[in-house]
Amino acid sequence: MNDRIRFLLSRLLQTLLVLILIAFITFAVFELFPADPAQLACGKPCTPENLARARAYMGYDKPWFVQFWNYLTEIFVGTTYGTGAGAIRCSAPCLGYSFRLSSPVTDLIAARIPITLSIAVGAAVLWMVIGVTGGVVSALRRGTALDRSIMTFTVVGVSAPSYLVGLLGILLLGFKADIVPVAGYVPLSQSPVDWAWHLVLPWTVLALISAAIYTRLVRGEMLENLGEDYVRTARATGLPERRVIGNHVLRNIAVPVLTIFALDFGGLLGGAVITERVFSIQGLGALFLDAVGATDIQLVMGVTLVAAVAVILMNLVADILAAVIDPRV
Amino acid sequence: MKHTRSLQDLSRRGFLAGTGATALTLALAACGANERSSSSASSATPTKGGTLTILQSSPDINWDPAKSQGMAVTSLALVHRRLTTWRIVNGQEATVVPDLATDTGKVSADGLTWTYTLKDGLFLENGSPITSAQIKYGLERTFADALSGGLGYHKALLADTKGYTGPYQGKQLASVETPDEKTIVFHLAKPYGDWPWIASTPAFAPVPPHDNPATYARKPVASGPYRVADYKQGVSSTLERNPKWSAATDKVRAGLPNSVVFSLGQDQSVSSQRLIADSGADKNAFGADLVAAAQLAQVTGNPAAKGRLATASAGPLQYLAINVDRVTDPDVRKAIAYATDKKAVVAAFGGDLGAVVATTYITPGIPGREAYDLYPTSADKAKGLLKGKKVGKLVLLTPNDDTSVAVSQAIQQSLQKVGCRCRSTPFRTRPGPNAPLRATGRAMTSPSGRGTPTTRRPMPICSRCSRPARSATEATTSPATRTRRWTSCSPTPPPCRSTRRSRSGRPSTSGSPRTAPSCRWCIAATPSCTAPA
Repeated sequence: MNDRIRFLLSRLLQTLLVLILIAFITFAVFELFPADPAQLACGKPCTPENLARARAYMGYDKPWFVQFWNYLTEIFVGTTYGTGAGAIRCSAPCLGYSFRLSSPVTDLIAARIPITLSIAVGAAVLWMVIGVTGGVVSALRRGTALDRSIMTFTVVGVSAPSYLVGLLGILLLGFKADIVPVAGYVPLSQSPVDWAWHLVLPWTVLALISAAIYTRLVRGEMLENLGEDYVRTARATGLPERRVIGNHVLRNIAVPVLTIFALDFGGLLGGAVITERVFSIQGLGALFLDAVGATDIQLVMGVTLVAAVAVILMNLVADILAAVIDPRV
Repeated sequence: MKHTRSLQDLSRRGFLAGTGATALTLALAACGANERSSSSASSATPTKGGTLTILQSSPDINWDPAKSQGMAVTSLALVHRRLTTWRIVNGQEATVVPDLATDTGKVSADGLTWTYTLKDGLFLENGSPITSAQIKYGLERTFADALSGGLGYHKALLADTKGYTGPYQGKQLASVETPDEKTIVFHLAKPYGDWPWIASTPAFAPVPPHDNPATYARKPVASGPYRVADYKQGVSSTLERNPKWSAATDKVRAGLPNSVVFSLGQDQSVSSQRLIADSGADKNAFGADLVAAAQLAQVTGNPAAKGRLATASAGPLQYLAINVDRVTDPDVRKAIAYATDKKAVVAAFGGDLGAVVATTYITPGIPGREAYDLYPTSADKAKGLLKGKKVGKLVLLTPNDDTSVAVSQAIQQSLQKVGCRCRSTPFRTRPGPNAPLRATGRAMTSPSGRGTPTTRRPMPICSRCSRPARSATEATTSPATRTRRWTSCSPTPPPCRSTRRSRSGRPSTSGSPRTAPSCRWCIAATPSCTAPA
């Protein structure tokens, strides 16, 4: 069998196992959690009969392993709650049904993905540009005032919590300076300018924190590589410094930076929980937070799985990119 | 369900509104990212038109009357009318008044049958006349498993409901009759004098048959002054005028704004800051959430914002519920009551604007209250009661929000002062549904969060007061009723215990089922809250 196909198949199998494991852990957490999701659908007054009916309807009256198995199979075949004219259908891929929000989990997640994607992509571009530039400049100007300033900025960036930076940004740039909107989200399809305008602050807040980490990472990698023999050889051959850095050093540091970036970006796709909450943007993070608060198990499971898929996929992409950049991988 | 206070009590915590929230026609001068208005605060005289914005932290509104727990004065009433509704006038007792019906109901001599006649000239948004069959159907759907989750007091009161699972299998509820298009008759399992209050719950809104329960919440058929134009879960919901609504048939709703926009999932502190800043569209906005304790100080220090802070006197009751199965010694329970520093608890709520000490189940302002304090704070008395007793480590379960955690810390410190070991365990829950409690320690106490079932012996600690002065309904109610409205922020009433009167089936138009001493039965919020034998 072709090595590449074997590699791909083994990765897919690993992915599947990881996803099942994540689903199981999420499920187990809620099994142990002191809350009964059926109570949300029980109404008031919640009599024992009503609770029993709600449990049976939602499928929570079955043993945990049956519930778990049903959840996994329903992803592929879908399910129907109730019978007759009042039956509710959750079509495949059915990641569950939120009885609280009267909506299939898949639909709820699908509605939030563009929002989270908007935040993640913008922030990632910003932090990569700032981080890589800052790191390279800092490494090349090692020991200078510029290097020290950048490093001071990174310490502040790394240690500042996003909710604090976010609220400060809202207060200073939104309320005081009135430069950017303080809350909300406008879909890209509605107005690209408003879309970007509403996201400037969240992007900046997320990017500031991550950019600090990437600056330090790139600087460290750069300094390490600049001391390597291949750099000395390249310089000795008379290559211009720009090509030494651009073609050789940056290419070598790309692999570790990309690996970390894939993890960070994948995580961000699962929802920038705090940033979304502070800026009142209803992405996957806000959906997740709300689902946890409401003990909406199926919604939590759905968002967790989607977030896990995002991380795994991004890792796969990073692996492939690493192989392209560095054929030895 | 009665919420009534006097004017002098209006000194408590509440909600923030923009300066133009009651005057909905306001010229806006947009200049900058956040729309600053150059106009000064507008007059408080409400006029027709404009857009009302409501900032709320909750990311969803369920517009399906079967799934809603919204009382007659909440957002749902903008879209759905019921058989009866509430009339709330400042300084007067809240009363139940006719809404779709011509009166609050005629009861039979045995108290078992209630008859309602619908007004003339009532139409749904699709132009079809509102009929008694639609109200019956709306009520029947609340029995369907797919639509459980709403206010279901009627389910326990109506006769022959056992085994009924809604209209979708083609079965009808025998205890609700519709002899003609205008008349609807309810047969109860036992006499219930406060049935007119029950008829004001969302289940009594008309729903045209053959609905799809999976999608009805997104596009319900309106009977009120507004219809749902748009609902984006987690983002916003927009209400626009329902042209088929007739103001002549509605003495409670004024329907002043042209549209109402609910901004969903808003960060509570950012919303408060927006309302304090009072600029642009926020001038016509109000916050649907309580102002957090930390921000109350900021608001009270800002005269302009303070003037827009809607406050209320006593309202919902919060209390410490002690698990008597675990804290079995009555003396220890009394010691906990004495030890708890009520002043510290009030401070954790944000001071006098946040709460007052109730000392009894019936909060200040409710008729029938007798002021007494069986357990004034006294560390000495607590220590005396605990002398020689061996008390296990107490576990204090608390909802995981800033205010509740601060309150639990105050209680924890009080108990530690008298030598009790106490651990506070926050758990995440939403206000509303009954939050389950599981004890993990040897003994458990729980500060009653909103929605916490308290089937044990509760100890009144403090009454928390809140109400949306410029609630969606209020902003659209007629001038005569645009006054203080008393909305319980505690969806779960405390366990009732008042039962002084005879088993009268007579209609009571103002009695609170859970607080007034005159009522016979309470609304069963918890299994323990049942009618006495």
